[in-house]
Amino acid sequence: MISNFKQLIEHRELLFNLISRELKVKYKRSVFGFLWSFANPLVLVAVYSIIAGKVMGMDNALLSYPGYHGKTSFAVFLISGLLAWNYFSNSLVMSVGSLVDSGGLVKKIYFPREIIPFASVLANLVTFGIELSVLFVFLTIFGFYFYPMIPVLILIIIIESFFILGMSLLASYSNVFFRDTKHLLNIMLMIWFWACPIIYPFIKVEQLSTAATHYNLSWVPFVYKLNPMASIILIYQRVLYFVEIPSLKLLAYTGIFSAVFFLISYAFFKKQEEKIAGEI
Amino acid sequence: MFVTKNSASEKGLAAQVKDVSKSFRLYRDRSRSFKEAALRRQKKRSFEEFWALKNVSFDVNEGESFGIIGENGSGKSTLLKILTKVYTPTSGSIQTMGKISGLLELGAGFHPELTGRENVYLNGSILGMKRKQIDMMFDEIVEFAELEKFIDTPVKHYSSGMFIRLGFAVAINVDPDILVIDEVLAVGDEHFQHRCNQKILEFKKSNKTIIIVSHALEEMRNLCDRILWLDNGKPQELGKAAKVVDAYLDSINKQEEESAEHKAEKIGKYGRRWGSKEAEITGVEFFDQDGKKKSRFKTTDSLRARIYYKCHQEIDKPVFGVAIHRQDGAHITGPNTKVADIKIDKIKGEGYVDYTVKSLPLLKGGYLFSAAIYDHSCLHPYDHHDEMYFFEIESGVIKEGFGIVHIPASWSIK
Repeated sequence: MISNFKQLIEHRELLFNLISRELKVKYKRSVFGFLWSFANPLVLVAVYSIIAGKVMGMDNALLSYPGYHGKTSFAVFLISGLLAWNYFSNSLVMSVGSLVDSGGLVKKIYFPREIIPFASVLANLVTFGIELSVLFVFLTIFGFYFYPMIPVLILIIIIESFFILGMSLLASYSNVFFRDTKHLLNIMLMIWFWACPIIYPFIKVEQLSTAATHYNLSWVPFVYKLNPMASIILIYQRVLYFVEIPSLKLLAYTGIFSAVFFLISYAFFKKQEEKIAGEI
Repeated sequence: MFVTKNSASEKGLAAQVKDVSKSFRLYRDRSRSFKEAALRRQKKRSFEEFWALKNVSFDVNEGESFGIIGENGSGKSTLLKILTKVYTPTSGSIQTMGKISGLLELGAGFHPELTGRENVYLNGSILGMKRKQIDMMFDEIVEFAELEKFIDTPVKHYSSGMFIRLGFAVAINVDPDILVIDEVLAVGDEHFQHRCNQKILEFKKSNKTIIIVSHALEEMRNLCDRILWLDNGKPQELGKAAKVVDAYLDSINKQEEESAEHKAEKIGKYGRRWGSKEAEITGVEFFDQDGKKKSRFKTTDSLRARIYYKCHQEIDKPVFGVAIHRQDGAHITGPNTKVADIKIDKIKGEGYVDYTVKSLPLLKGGYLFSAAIYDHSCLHPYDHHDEMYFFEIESGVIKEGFGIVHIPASWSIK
């Protein structure tokens, strides 16, 4: 495992170049370039605020879920979970086909193969970073004084990143052998999105489980939080919407889960790596 | 691993290939999706094992130019890919000393939207160069590719020649300890090819190791010290370049001779035949100067066409004629015994007539041969075999490639 990391560090130049290639290609030939990174979350927040907030009445649900200093802003609540989710989902959508798309390269030159899906994920991390500046503007406008929480924010970004890197290895590897992994992933992401407390607050889940009279559903919130993305998003909301230190239990769970998951995926990927060139 | 590395480099080896085999699975219907995989569960997965390489062993000395030849599909490229670690061998082991870089990936990883400059850095780092190294090499790379004007243009606007030039320029400037070349001596125009060859020779002179795969046998003969000949994944011969190239050429010639005979048989069926058949031509055979039957000759070889005949009655003053057409229809020649003033009083029974060309002036290609017996007026055909026979010319000593014939002539400059 250590030699894997060493090799990866040796090839860091390639990793950086591939990341910058992804970013350059993404924004080249577009008049507004990086501005698009802001447009996407802004429009999403606007649309969801109206549909989920007003039409579906999530605004009211949030009344029993007040954030920083008792403020309830659906837009702030939404964006603090949504950006983290977008980072996750865009990374996977981009990395799942990355090995196959780079087939020409993989079949001709040797370099650590994980660099390719990693580059997709890390390019999205850069975009995520830019999008966070939108979030910061929002938070400032709405008076959420989140700055002391920045170290925790960085920690959870790192935890989420390792989880995504592990997922990207499995997804891109699987797609080499089964080309419909892509489609499966899209469906999975759709369901997964609703299994995370992004456009509804977690309190809704707790309320439903206690409201059930015929069945004992008290285990539901616990199981719900086993979903690592749900827990990760809860931490983001804790940090940005409530501006509080998240529970150490939750941090420890997501941190350990991500680290173990990443290491297992990486070890698996490296063991199977040699098959890739022959299969593409 | 370090131990073997040292022991190998002490012996002055650049690469050591020990008993390497590589097999691929050829699936009849490979399921490429979960759906297919699920539906297919009960059926036995059907595949054939295909051995691309079988028990290949060789050492490459430091500073040596090592060639690999063989027909298409003989495993040359697979072997190179194993050397550059793209494939892992199914069995056996491989050791390479120092940095190995290949010219098998010209422009691999170029992104069409990025400029030439951006792609140089990207491609350089794919080939394992550091940013600083590329900075140092950059001007040289651009100059070598002759793309000074276009270096900041996205490569999607490049012509394919420019694309390959830039790819070659980056790859050759990686400055590896072992350079692996796969059939790239034939890229670009003459001018660029010459410069590539120049660069490779420079590399050779600076005592670096080269491992090269090519079909350009004459160049291989000159460039390489030793050559490995692969046949269907098995090492056929390994030794001094000239010796192996000669052995390989011999085997190819033998094969082509067989195929020329096969061709002759096939083409004969397309020819036409007519005549009153009082005398018949029973066959035509070609011989070389040693009297050996052949259907494949070299330019300037001697050729003897033997026309066998059989008479059902006595024929007075017959005329024998032949014709040679090139396969595309050009009529090369059509002599007969009457024009040549050869008086044949009468023929009966069986016999043959020889038509001998001392030195074939024909250039490389396929030729159709016709033979006929006519009466003295040359109006009544007894038997006419039109374009029913076939022989092939390969370029021998004469390398002329233009036109139809080689005319013996000489040059002088004043």
